[in-house]
Amino acid sequence: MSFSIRNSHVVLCNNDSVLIYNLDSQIRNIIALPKLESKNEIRAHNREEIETFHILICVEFSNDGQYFLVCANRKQLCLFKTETLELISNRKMQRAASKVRFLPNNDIVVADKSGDAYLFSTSKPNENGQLLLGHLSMLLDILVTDDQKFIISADRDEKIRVSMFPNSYNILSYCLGHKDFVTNIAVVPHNKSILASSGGDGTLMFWDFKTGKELLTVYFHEKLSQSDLLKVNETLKKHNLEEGVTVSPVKHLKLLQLNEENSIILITFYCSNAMLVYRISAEENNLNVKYLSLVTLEQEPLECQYHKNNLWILMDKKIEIYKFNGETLIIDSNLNMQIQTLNELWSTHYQGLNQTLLPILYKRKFDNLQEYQERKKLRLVKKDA
Amino acid sequence: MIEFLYNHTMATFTMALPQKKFYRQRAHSNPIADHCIEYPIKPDIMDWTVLYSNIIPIFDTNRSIKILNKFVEFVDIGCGYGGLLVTLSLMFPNNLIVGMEIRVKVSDYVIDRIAALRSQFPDQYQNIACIRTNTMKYLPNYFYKGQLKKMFFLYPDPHFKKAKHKWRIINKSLLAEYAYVLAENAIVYTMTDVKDLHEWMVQHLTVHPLFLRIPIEQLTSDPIIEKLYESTEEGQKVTRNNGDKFLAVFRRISDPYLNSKEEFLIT
Ligand SMILES: C[S@@+](CC[C@H](N)C(=O)[O-])C[C@H]1O[C@@H](n2cnc3c(N)ncnc32)[C@H](O)[C@@H]1O
Repeated sequence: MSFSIRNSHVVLCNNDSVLIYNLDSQIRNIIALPKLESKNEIRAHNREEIETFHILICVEFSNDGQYFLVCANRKQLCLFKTETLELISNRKMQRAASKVRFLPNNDIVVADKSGDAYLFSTSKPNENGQLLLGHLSMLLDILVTDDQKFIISADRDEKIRVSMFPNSYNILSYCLGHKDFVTNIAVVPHNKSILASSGGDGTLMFWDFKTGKELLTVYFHEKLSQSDLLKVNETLKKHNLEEGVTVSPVKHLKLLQLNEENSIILITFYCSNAMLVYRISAEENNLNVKYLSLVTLEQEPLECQYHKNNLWILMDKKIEIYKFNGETLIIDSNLNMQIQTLNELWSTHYQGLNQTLLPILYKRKFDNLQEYQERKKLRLVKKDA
Repeated sequence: MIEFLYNHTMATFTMALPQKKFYRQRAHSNPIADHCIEYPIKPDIMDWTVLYSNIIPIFDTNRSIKILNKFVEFVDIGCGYGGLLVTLSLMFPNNLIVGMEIRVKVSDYVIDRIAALRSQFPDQYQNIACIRTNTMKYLPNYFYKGQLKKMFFLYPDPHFKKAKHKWRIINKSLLAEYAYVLAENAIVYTMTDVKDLHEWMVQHLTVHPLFLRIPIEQLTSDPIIEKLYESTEEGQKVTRNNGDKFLAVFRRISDPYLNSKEEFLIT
């Protein structure tokens, strides 16, 4: 489930069809996704559960709105032209993707579950993806900075890697300090040398990403309810992860510039309707992050997107639009009225298939160390006797 | 925990060298699986003083922890039973050297071996240590950017099957990480008895823009080279079996992309 908004277009993606809706003209189009053109059919992997489990569904507009991409079936990347809805390319990816984003120049970067990142050219839409970098751990987020000089990747261990771009074989720094997987990274919009990150350890961290220096850590997890945490643990249990977690994992991290000195930060969580709102101001070397409020949404958000200073939240039942009033986010009733038709379409289009990444974020560790050490102890004790 | 021997001349107890038969382990560990490995979240919190316990630490007031007055500069990747560490220790008494090994029992053997050597030769072997870790995942957790001067890949696991090639310890992505922890002009030594793996390593290192092969003629002055053939247990095994030995040595160079851009700016 995914959606994206640019100019007057909204694109919504369900499992195998895409809905394009024009907010002004209210014209709607539904396109079925093409079959993957590939000689060898894609077999379900038996080997890595990581790969088979989760199907990423992602749609996104390019920054200029000219194109949108759809990544729905496993390993398939479709690129469309917004005006004509023409399918420009239908390319195969090496592995199932975990994050797909447009670059400022309309090229596409894909991060995948095996830990690799690929660059797909838009000007050469039939060219295969080109390997940029690889982690030995599933990638959960990736971004190329606005100046297109750096590519930043975050993984299921605790690592955030900053590589040069396009010479991505050259690693500039690591931002190390998270104690669990990193689900989200984002550059602070009003101070583009600072990176924000969050994931499974209940903290929001800020980095001078060029040096990897940690600037500030904000602990937020005590703001969340225990019952939400319970829900996380129940879900994990259903997937045979018995070891309980003590912190709700972050699902989305979104930053929106308010003015020259301030941005707001929104954080949402798996198995939770809560959204935390912070304000970050960064004047010179003085980074200040202030907690503003907790917003309770109707449902757990599937996706959040900024559009023209509003926050659009995609949920199971509907899309809801919020605005910032200086302290918190409130429902923008006017705008919500205007998207009634869209919401009706969404409710018929939506098939209730809500795959969650949650179970594969956590590791099933196998321990052979303890056993060995115990046997060694026994051996040495026997010897003494 | 460890066996002790009574040393008559010195009238002290020293530790016996460990016996390999107790430390054998299946040859290949999956480097991609989620092993239970303890590792520091970042180099800042790595406590090296416990590994080089005879070196007197200094107190870092900024971080309020004890640190060594120098950095580890040589790393033996997949050090196996530790033969190279023992050899390098005496050749480079002033450098800190660490072996990294993923197999529990094998790394434990090396740890016990070093402890025994230190107790038998009290002023020696203080500059070597072994850590159980997965070097394909955790090098940036231990080392700062550009910290390392030498890196050794001796007789790495060949992983013959095509499907296992991604387990090989040298590939395009891992080389970026090695280049990150290596200083400019640092040296990477590779040695193997498997021709196919030799060609694989040479090919990957050659095409990587941050490494440059050092021609054989230029290696004669490096006293390490001759030790690469026989120091390690695997090297000795290959000799016993009359196997081939292929050597390739590379230098970490600065980024040609940045250099070309600088030239562009100047002109
Ligand atoms: C064939 S042995 C060679 C050992 C030693 N260098 C020698 O020459 O005797 C390769 C060693 O690398 C270790 N190894 C493989 N992958 C590793 C990894 N990802 N991290 C650390 N050690 C690894 C293996 O456990 C094995 O002991």
